[in-house]
Amino acid sequence: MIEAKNVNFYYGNFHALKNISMQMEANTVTAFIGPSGCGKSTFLRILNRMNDLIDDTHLAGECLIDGQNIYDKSVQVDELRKKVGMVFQKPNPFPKSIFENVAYGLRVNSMGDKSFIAGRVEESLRGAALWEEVKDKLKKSAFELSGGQQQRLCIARALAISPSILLMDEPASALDPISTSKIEELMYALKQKYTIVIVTHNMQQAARVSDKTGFFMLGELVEYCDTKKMFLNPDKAQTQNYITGKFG
Amino acid sequence: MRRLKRIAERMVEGLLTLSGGVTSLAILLIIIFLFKEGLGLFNSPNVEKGYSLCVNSSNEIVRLNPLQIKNIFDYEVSNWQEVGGADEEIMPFRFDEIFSQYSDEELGEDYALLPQRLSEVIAKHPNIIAFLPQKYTPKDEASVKVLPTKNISFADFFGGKEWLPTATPSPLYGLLPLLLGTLWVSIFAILIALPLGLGVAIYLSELATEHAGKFLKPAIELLAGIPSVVYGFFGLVVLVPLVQRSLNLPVGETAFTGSLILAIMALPTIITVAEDAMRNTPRAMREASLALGATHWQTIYKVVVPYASSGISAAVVLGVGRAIGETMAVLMVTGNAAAMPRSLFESVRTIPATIAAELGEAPAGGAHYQSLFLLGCILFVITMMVSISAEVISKRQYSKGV
Ligand SMILES: Nc1ncnc2c1ncn2[C@@H]1O[C@H](COP(=O)(O)OP(=O)(O)OP(=O)(O)O)[C@@H](O)[C@H]1O
Ligand SMILES: [Mg+2]
Repeated sequence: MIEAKNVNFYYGNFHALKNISMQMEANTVTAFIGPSGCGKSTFLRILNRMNDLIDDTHLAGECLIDGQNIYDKSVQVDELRKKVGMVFQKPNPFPKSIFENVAYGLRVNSMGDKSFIAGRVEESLRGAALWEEVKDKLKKSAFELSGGQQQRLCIARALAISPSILLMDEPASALDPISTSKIEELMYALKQKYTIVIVTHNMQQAARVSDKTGFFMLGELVEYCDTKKMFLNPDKAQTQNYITGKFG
Repeated sequence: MRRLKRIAERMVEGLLTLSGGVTSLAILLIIIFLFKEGLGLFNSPNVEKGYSLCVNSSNEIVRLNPLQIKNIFDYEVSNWQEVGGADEEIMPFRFDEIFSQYSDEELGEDYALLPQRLSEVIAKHPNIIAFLPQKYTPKDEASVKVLPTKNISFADFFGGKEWLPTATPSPLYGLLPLLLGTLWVSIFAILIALPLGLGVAIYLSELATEHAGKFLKPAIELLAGIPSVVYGFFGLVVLVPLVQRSLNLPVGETAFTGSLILAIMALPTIITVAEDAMRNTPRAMREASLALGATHWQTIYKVVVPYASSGISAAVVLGVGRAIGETMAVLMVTGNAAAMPRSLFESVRTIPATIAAELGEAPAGGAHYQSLFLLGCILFVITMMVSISAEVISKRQYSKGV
């Protein structure tokens, strides 16, 4: 379970997130929607402390995962990130072979021997619906894949270390409809084991895959409720307008 | 208006093409000039120009190589047997000795009788070997045999273990001591500078606080701008005595001292180029690694360094290039003994130092002069090989994506 309590986030003086409080239950899919620049990625990156890398940023409030404040001094960031996997907005495979890309997380965390790694790589590639396309060229550079294949490789890479939470920042923005539906099916299957948070600009996608949806605007969480309610009968007029495309 | 713009664009284009062409042509001409002058060495006789070597006609010897000639006149070889002749003591004879044996009258007006007198001397001593100007060489074939001169061969140059370009009668142009001197000094310089430079580059790009970086970077760039003669001076005054005292050596001017000073000089280049390469590793790569639970350090050596590998090999090439070509500082601290180096802690001489030290005293167009150009060619070939291999390495790494 993920819980944010009065989270405020600043890039320098810029107040990017304002007083965000929300809870995400285990084994659910939560979607974040909202206009560009409203802070969806920023909030997602708070959940695996990716924003720590950016200089001159500042966080106030609490962020708990399974009851543990992840910004507590005692938390080991690399252990946290092992548990909270992330797929980025732009595909970012390593300049390594396809196999090594997926094996990377296993190797740096010294998880398992050679045969275990080989098995897990195949499993993860199957999980990301990429296995059939790459099984004969695992030794080839990941850069030889198409953009959509690269994104699925990045998903496989995140799956390989079996995180319990998976953060996905517009994972389907570079994909064709077929790959997109594969990813959506995948999310449905993954829900059994993982807690998933996904950012998307595609309303249909949010409606299809998520259990709950949060609508962000200008750094604020305007509305957060069950997806069905959000799309059928939102409380706020702003939400209604955004979803129906009246502004954005 | 439109047309004017198009004409101007054409002109700029032409100008750029022209300057590119001129530059390429200039480079080509320089290389051709270098090799033409250098290869001229192999058309020079192996005995000093204008002189010949004569022996008594009873001597069975038919030819001598430059090293043998040098050893004979240095009294290091004293028996004909050692150079393939009879078991007799060699009697080296230099041209000026004739003036102590005969008076001016006996040599005749304008030394007209000199060849005859020389012929007498040679006839009198069956074991003599005489080094004479061709002008006065006796034509008397009954008693005097002129040894044929050969051109300096590839083997003399590339296999020669002695560099004595001013030795008479037979100068020696052996590349090996200089080549080895260069390689020793450069290789050890790189062995010192590379780990240190990469370490500092990693520190600067990954670990240093903004504050430390702000101070260190300009300081390092400043180091790159110091002229090499200043480094040489520093080396001479500080490093040479330091090396001598701390290692308890007879002299401080050693290959090791040269390597040290070169390492110091190559460091700023290696650091700046490698740091830039690592800093250019996209943030997305680092984030991808960290998001998979890799530690900062794992991210550095598994992602940042491999990603920057082509930039890092560029740093290595620039460093090696600087080390191999560096002249002044090395000239000042290595002692410049043109002997085969046997240990790091002996005096050596490098190719660039040799060129710098000797070009002034080598008469233009002579064999010595040509040999220095040939050294330049060798240097050129070495640096070219270094950059080609770096290119190959970084290309292969990139295309393999490993
Ligand atoms: N590294 C950064 N430094 C400074 N400001 C930033 C940085 N990253 C994001 N911001 C600012 O924070 C705000 C939120 O950015 P964020 O990337 O979270 O938006 P987003 O909702 O993900 O948008 P998109 O849908 O376009 O991805 C934006 O106004 C952006 O300009
Ligand atoms: Mg975003």
